[in-house]
Amino acid sequence: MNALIGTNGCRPQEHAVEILYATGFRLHAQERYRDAAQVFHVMLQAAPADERGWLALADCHEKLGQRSVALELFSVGTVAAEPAPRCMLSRFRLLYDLDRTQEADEAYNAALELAAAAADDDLTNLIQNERWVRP
Amino acid sequence: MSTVAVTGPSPVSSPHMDSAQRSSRAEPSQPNLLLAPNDNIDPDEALAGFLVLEAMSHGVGLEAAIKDVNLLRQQKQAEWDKQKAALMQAMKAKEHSSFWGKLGKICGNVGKIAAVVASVAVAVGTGGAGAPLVLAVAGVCLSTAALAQGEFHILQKLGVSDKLAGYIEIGTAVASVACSFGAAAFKGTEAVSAFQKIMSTGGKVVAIGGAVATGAAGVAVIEKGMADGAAEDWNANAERAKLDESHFEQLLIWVLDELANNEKEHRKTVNGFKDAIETRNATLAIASGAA
Repeated sequence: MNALIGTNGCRPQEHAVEILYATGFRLHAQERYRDAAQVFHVMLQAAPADERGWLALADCHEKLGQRSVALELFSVGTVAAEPAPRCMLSRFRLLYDLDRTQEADEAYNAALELAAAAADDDLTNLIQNERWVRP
Repeated sequence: MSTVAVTGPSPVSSPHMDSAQRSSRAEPSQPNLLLAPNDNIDPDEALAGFLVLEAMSHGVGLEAAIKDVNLLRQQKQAEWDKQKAALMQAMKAKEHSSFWGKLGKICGNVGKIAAVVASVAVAVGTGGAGAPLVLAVAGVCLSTAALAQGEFHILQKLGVSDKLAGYIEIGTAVASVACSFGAAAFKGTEAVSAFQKIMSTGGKVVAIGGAVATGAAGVAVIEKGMADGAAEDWNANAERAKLDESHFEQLLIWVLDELANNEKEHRKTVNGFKDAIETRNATLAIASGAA
C-alpha cells in the first residue's frame, strides 16, 4: 500500500495523525465517545504533543460523565502539548465547576498567559469572556 | 461540562476556527474548544474509519495511517528504551532514598520503567524533551482503564476520591516539574514549591530544587533534604502531606503497572482497526459483486 496516497503534500506520518484525528472527531460528533477515545489513544501515542488529541480525549471522558479523568487528561495535555492554552482553559472550566476555585483561578491566569504568549487574539478574547460565565 | 456537542468537521480552511465561525457553532456561554480537523483531509477518507463501517470511501488512507503510526511507534521505541536505561541507572544510584528506592523496586518488577514516574524523572533527566511520549502512555493508560472499569472504580483503586481535599492531579504534579525548565504554565519557583508540597512528609522533602538547577545530572541529583518550613509548619501539615504523598505514590504505582500492558493493548487496538478495515473491504467487495 502506498503510504503517500491521499496525503495532499503532508508527510505520511502527519497525514496519518490527521486522518486519525478526523476519524475520532467524526465519532465524537456522532456521540460515539468510547469509539472516539480509542482512536485518540492511537493518535496521541503517535503525536503526544498535539493538543487537539488531549482536548478531544478528555472531552470524550467528560461527555461520559468522567469529570475527574477528564481533568487528569486536560492536565497531562498542558504538559505534553505545551503550550496548550485550550487544555489549560478546559482545566479552568472543570476546576471551577468542581468548586476548586483557587486552582481554577491559577488555571485561568495560566491560560490567559499562554494565549497571550501565543499572540492568539481570538483565544485571548475567548478566555477573557469566560469570566462573564464563571466569575 | 466544559464543551458543547460538536456536529462534525466543518468545511473550514484551517483547523483553527475564527471567532465568527466559533460563535456560529457554539453556545455563547460555553464555546467549544475542540478544533476542527485539517481541511486537507478528505471527509470521506476520514469517515472511512474502521469502526465506522458505513463504507463511504476506499479506506486506503486509514489503513496507511495505521501503518505509519506503527512505524513511528517503532522508531520511538529506541528512544524509549534509552530513557528507560538512563532512568534505571539513576534510580539505582538513589536506592538510599526511601521514596525513589521504593519506586526503583517497583520499576524493577514491572520492567517498563520508562513511564515512569514518570514524568518527574524523564522531565528532569532530559529537560522535558522526553516527557510527551511518557505522558501519552500514562494518559492513555488512565483513559483506557477509566473506559473499561469506570471512573469511580479507577479512582477508588488509585486511592483517590474527588470528595477528598487531598485529591491530586498527576498531570499537575508532572507539570510542576516539567515546567520548571521554563517553558510553561508554572514558573520555576512555583513548580518547585508545588512539587515540594506534594512530596513533603514528616518534615522531609524531596528537594527537587537542586535537580532543576543542575538539570543535566538528571534524576541522580534528586536528593532528600530538609523542609523549608519551620518545625511547627510540618507538624500542622504532616497529615495532609502524608495523604498527598500516598495518593501521588499510588498514582505512580498504577501507571507503572499499566505500562506493562500498554504495548499489548496498543497491538490489540491496532488489530481491531485492521479487522474492521478488512471486514469493510470484504463487505464492499461482496456488495460490488467482486467476491
